[in-house]
Amino acid sequence: MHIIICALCRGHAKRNTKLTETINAANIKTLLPEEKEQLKSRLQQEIKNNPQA
Amino acid sequence: MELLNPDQWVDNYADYLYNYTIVRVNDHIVAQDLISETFLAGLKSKKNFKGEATERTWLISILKRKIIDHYRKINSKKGKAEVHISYRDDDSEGDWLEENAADPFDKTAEDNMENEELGLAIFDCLDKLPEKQAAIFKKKTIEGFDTEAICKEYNITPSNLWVIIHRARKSMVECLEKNWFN
Repeated sequence: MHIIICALCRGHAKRNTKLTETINAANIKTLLPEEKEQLKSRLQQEIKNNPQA
Repeated sequence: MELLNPDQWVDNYADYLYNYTIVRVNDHIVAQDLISETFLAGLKSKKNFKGEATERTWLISILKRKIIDHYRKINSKKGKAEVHISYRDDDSEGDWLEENAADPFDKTAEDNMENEELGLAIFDCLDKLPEKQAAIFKKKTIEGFDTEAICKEYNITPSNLWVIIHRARKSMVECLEKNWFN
């Protein structure tokens, strides 16, 4: 109801919706937390094995 | 001068590199392997980093070479290659004419590239947020974690979370308006 009379909030809601739509449209893929952990431990292992690297 | 910080590579760049890779190789496991190889190669050639580019740009340049090498390897096996056809279900097996018809579920390369560019633009804007704000925004809005799990991980209240999300969204809109919509 407030949005009908408040131009500022209406603008904010519109931009907020646009952001959600944009993020959904991008269809961003992310790695699962456990996959990131695997990557981290592999990298950590390598750092440990080759401290000079 | 930019310095390398391999301890933070996974947290800071894994998702960015994954989005870059997946549209180019279209295989989750291959993409993961290429990212892992990129990080290891980055570590080995750490001394070559001159600090002229950002850490992320430098990792992307290594990843690009890894992707090219991946396709070179595939092409060198060309002679032995088999053709694999995947059927959505057993009933459609052998429907050769239908196979040739346009697939409404397949995205065109152009769509994929545009999505990828938009995805990378979103990551660029995320990079401009304070670290904790970016991490929480990503978990909540992109990865879809629930409020309780995020609050527990970061030891914050739901009210804190929504303030952080509100600020992040405001900055994200401003950044995308500047770099993507216009």
